[in-house]
Amino acid sequence: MKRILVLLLSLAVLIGSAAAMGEKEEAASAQYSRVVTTTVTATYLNETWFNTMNADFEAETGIHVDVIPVPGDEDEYKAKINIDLMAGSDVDVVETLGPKDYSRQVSAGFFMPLNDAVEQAGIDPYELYGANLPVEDDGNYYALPFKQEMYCVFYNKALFDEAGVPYPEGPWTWEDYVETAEKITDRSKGIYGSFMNADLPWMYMPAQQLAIPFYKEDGSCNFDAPEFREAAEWFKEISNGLCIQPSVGELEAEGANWNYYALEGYRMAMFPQGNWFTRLLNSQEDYPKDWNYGVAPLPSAGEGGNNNLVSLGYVAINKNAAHPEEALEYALWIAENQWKYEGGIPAFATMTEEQQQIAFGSIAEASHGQVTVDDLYQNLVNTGLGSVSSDIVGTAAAEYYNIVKEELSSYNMDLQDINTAISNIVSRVNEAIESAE
Amino acid sequence: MRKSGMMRQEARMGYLFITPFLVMFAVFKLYPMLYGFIVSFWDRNSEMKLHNTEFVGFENYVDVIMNHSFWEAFGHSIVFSVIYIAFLMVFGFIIAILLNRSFAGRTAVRTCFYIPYVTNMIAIGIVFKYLLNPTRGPINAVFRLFDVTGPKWFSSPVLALPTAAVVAAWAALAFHIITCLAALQEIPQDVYEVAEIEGATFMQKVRYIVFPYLTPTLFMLLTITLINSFRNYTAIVGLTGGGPGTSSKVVSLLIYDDAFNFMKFSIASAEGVIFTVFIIIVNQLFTKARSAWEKR
Repeated sequence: MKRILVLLLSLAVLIGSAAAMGEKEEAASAQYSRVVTTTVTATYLNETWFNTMNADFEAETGIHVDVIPVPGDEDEYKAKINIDLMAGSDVDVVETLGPKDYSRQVSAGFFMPLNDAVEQAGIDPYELYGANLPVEDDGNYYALPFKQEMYCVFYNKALFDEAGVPYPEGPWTWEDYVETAEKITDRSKGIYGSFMNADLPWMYMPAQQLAIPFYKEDGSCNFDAPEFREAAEWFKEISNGLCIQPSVGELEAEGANWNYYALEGYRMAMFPQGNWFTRLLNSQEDYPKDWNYGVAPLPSAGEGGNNNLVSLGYVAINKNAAHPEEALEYALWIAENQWKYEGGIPAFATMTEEQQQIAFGSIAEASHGQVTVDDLYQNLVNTGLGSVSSDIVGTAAAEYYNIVKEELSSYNMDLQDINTAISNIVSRVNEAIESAE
Repeated sequence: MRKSGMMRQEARMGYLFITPFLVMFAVFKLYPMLYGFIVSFWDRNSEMKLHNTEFVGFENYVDVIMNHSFWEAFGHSIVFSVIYIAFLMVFGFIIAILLNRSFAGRTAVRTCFYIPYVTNMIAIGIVFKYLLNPTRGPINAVFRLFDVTGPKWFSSPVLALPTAAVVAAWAALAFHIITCLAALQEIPQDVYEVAEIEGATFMQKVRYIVFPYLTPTLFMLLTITLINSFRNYTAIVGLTGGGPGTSSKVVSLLIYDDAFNFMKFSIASAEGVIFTVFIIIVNQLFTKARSAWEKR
């Protein structure tokens, strides 16, 4: 009997301690009458724009935003938030970057449909967001788009000036891009005309601009389409053959990612990147540089390839949200306002002049005269290019992405030929699709 | 015979002290292990099947066994373990013998060897990635002094895995050194004195005195190292991320990717079970070899 008592007491101590910790957290939120919870990567807490945005929301609505930070980078965040949602988390609002991850989360049934609630709020999302509204096959949308990221080419004016090459202008093609990069590349000085990430979609970008589907009609892998092969071979040729940009092997050796230019400073001339790159180019404190940048539109991939790559950010409400009403208010507000604070492009179907001024004004201001509002608008939005998703979206998309990256990296590092790479991609992806279905 | 009151009280205290451990073990270890084992017989292999409890028998196990990526990662895990164990056992033993002798600054040197053991593996990864950077790193700068191009270490498909194993072993070396040092200090001094009188050389003393005395300790270390060598997730993530391509992708990383990036929880569980069974078998074989050695 006593033994059981000892065990029960020990358990009580353990449970009591755990409960006390929970109570402390709850007590912090209890002082607010209305609360909404959201989860972000921990680095967001150091971002002034994020904290200002939540303070403004609170001032406007009286709803306190309780932010749950998740340590780690973007990939770790995705894995952790998915596990949390799977385990029945009652966090209210979740932001997702990119249609690939959003689509997986919807398939997993993490989010609540927003159709009725949004329409009751007097908003016509179809008119407001147009094709950017993520309507699923069941006719529902489970999120609102709060920003869009578009690709363009940022360039280093100093290197162009040094080589006596005129700054690039659109419309132009990838042939023009390579020709320009060749003029600037001077390997004796360690100067490359181009920098593309050893990642997707760069390794097959022209094929994606041609809107070649990733899946065949029967749902199997379509990476054996000749356009993907040609695009992959082209990427390797300009990296390893023409040497206008660091090869995948060099980038792997450096552990280089999208902010590699910051390490290399002066040596890269052109960067096909999304508009997120302006945050880095304008951050003199974190990424100091002694050259000015300019912006040009993304080159066209030729006939049928006059498309830009676009990615979207989505704000969704957890189906188990503890505060669904507040969550809806926050999600609607984020979709309408986050881009103003973050310095991004809204996901609206059309942008008024005032919105353009706000969206690009803050970037232009932060650039201290390197780019103007008009430069940004003309080269990001008003390019005459159509738009295609920058992500692989569909069955087993995350695995598809990973497999393509692994196999094409091996191909680029001469560990296998293109036939083997394509054949491996097709068989491995089909296996993944079969398993997922 | 009935236990005395004192003994009963001691027993109760014993239970009291182990209760927190037992509760934690049951909640955070036993339950997840059993649940993982059960999940390996269900079909939870996509985001659409997260709550699926359909029993599929050994289907996931067959899929894993037929999967080329699993065997590739399995092979990498073995290579990693062999290099890791060899490095630790050899250098742990040699450095302990060297540190067992008297020399100026011995305490400082011992402390230096201990620092990596208490350093975070990710921090070690960052430092080594800098040291071994093929173009900017100081190690390859030495090669360049002799007009030789240094190896590409972490970015070479051939070298990435062995380099990661050596760095991980280096970080764990202190435990081996300290354990061997403790065992060395247990050797009676008079044994050495007799050897001195007999005119034994340094190597003869190592072979005929140190090695036999340290055998039980070395076997214990070998068992621990064998198990630790398969717990290599942090080292691989911190040093190579499994690349270049898949050239250093080990089973622990494959399991993580399958579960948390691709949401193939049943496949990941089956991979975990297969790998655990493998480790148990290896450990059993090793225990038998150890018994045979001891009876010899």
